[in-house]
Amino acid sequence: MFEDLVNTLELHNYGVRAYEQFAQLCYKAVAEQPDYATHFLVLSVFAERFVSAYDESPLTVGEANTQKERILGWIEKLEESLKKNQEAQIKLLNNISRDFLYI
Amino acid sequence: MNLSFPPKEVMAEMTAKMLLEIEAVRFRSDEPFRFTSGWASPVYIDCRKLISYPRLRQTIIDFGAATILRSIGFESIDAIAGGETAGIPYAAWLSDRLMLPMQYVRKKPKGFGRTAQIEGDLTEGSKILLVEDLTTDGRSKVNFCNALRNAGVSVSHTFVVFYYNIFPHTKAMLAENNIEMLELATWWDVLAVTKQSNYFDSNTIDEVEKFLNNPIEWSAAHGGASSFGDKA
Repeated sequence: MFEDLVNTLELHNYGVRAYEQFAQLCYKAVAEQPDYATHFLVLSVFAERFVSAYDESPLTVGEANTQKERILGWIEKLEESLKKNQEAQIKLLNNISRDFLYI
Repeated sequence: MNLSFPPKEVMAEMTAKMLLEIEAVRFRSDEPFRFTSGWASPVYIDCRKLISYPRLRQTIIDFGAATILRSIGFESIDAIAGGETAGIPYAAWLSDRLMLPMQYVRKKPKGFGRTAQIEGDLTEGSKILLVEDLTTDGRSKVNFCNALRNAGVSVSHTFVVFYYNIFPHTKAMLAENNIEMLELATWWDVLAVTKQSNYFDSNTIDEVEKFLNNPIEWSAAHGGASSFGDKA
């Protein structure tokens, strides 16, 4: 379900522009997949915070890679959670939300 | 207005020296930077540091005013627009120096309507100069110019203090969008000054020169973008 998002990050090499595109795709997905709106909204928050933190500021390759692993890790967990019940999904979304506050 | 018009190469060398003097230039090959567009680079420049140095910034603005008047003309611009965020102080100083009105352009619209991205009074049909601190691949210039044009004004030039001048398509891409760019200095000017001075050791300068001569290869070898097109 999140393949397009991952492809966008890859295509734009995990720079600020990649996360700007990523956020736009999330907003679109919120409208197109209303049953998973929260999933995409939470992911858009990460992208927005990344852009806010690093636009017009130096971003090292090391830091970019750290954030890349972080977002890809959560996306993988979100994908796996789709096979589980709603309670498990909500628990994961809460964990992700708490983590995303610290970027 | 009292301006002198030094040769372009003198202004470029002086600008490079000023940027080095205040340590606005960073060379780091052990842990490279990643540009907005995804390119890996051992070089980074922070032109915002200039705002803290009045003697330097006054000289930069004198150079900028001379460059603009010489290249565009004395009565060919109606107003100066700064690009959010780093372009705003430079636009303010240049508008003051050239005695012209000023606006600034937001990265994203705030509210609704044709002028939702513009702050300040804008006169329909006026000729605007877009001002920013620097240009890497030029894409933000196109976005800002489009926002201004959508608001009903004409933009044919942009002025920046610093232009990377390492990506071959930048000026052509700007020309396709009917934008001519004026700049004070490039990485090549900084490199020339560093070679004559002892700001950085020879290994660092060699690595930087490798990047400037072949940014695509250097970026690919250091985990960054490896081609143009959508990736840049």
